[in-house]
Amino acid sequence: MRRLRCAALAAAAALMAPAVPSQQPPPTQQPPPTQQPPPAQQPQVTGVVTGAAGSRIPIAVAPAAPGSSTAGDLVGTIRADLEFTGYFDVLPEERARLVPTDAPATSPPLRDWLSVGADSLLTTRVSAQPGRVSCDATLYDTRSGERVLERRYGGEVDLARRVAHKIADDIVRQLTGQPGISLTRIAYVAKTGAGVKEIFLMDYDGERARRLTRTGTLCLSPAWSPDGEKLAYISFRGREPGIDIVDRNGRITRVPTGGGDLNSAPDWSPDGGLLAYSSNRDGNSEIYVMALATGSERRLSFNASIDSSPCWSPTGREIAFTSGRAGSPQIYIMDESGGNLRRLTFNGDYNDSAAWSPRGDRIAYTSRVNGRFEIFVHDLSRGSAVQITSGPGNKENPRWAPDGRHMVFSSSRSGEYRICTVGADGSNLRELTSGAAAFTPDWSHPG
Amino acid sequence: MSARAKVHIVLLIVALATALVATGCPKKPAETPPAEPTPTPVEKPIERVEVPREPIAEPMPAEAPVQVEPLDEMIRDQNEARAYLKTVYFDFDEYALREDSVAALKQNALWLKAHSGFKVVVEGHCDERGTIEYNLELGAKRAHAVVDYLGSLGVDVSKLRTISYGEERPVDPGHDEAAWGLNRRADFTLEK
Repeated sequence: MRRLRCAALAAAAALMAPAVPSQQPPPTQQPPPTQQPPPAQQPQVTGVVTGAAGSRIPIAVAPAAPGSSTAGDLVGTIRADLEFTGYFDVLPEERARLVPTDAPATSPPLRDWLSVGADSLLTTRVSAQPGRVSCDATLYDTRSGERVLERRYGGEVDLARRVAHKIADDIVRQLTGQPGISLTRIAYVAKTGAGVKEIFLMDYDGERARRLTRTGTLCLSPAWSPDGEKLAYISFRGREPGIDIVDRNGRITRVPTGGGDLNSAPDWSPDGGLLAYSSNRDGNSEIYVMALATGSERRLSFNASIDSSPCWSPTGREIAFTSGRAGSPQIYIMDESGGNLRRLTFNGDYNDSAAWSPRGDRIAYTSRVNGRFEIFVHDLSRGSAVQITSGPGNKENPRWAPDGRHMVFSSSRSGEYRICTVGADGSNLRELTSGAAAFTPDWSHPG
Repeated sequence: MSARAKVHIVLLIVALATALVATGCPKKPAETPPAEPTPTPVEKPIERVEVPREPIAEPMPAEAPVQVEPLDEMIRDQNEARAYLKTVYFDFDEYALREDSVAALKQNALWLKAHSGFKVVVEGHCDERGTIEYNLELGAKRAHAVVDYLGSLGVDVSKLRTISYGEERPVDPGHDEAAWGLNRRADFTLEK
């Protein structure tokens, strides 16, 4: 996997340097003789743009044939998807316009694309039949001329954006070896009336939002199953707060938690077989794990204060959760057995909503700073946390994208609560929702 | 990777060979300038990818109305109960009973013991500060603290049901200390 990406970057570096000399920054790294020599990891390659997210792969998306809004939308969606990943430098459209357009679509002028800085080129040919959309996508290595990806994508006409997302994901996979996230979705709750919140789903980019539940009461904290086919969430239907699971066909079942007046904050184990949640069935909120196949429950925490919001590690061997046992809400980690308890957060008087990164190396959470909640990311190997959000309003309920490079959270930064995404380094903040107040998002796993 | 590359190489060779045969051009591939790449001109059978509809795609039908309790009805219930049963208030992030709450609950206990025919819901609530999930837990703790104390005063707790709404049902929609103080509460609803 990594070799693929390295090869792509090396190829990018090798061709970028001679191809676009005018784009190169002057060699500024010449140290004065009196200074120490540059460190060994000094970048040797000047042709690859290096930003906070590391080296990026230069790629061009050929403009859509004029006259078709379907094709234009599709190309625009692919471009946006590729840009969002952070893996690519997508050639700006004004530079793409420098390439002659008189060549037949099936034999693009690769040397011209190379000369404007495109290491890879995607061409698309969209055709529409009644009720369907079809797109031939070809990804060229502009230096070798190889068609590294050539497929005919199709789907029902209302799935055009998903067709584009699928193409983008396949390009990510081809050029980086990593799974793409363009086909992932975000579940969240939105306020639909006084005291009423329902579950909504949208694409990862905020498009195609639609309401899922019609309970007429409160639904909170949706959590995707690892296979992306089910959602668990807190539901107040029947005025009994409990955990409901909706399956891929929209059928709802109540998780048979063993009593109490509050069963809350569900989170699926990585293999999808277990559900962790908090329940006050024994008189006080504690962390439990249920085997979904059998309904058997295990209690993991034993403390007279609040224990809530469990979150599995990606290995399934540990669970992070929030506890008030030290006098304020703080994040703790325990083994999946309930043993080996240790406290993670010590700064601040309110830390909650732990979210374990997909690679297991970081835990995101929300922390109250000067009366406002901000998102922090704790690096487990370094043992320290950094604040990645700032500015007005609260930022709550962080959840990771499956690529480990992005997060989703809810924020009142613009007044009403909105669902926002942000790079794991705090860059590229986006508001995905508008209108109704929206809360407690969760990002689906790759489908 | 290597398997895919092999497939591509094989396809490329096949395509080139086909092109040579079709055009009758005797030019050797080695004469193609390496800086002038041209895409292979011959179509190969294209790989087809059908993009499926996502799971959980369809909106669910409305649930049976029996499960839906109109909020205005609940507010009416609450007003009725509030005529007899005092709401009690809490400090920020706390579920311990304050002195004024203890006094109010002593009054409520007298009424509850005299009207044992009623079933009563004790609702725990929080202000908007704090997180949604933790506030749900905090609201439950507040409701339980109230019921525990009423039980210690001799109230039949089997007639009491608890529920937490967390920060979801404020009585004052404001965003200041006055509103927050009113919203951190446990109040009493008569159960029909």
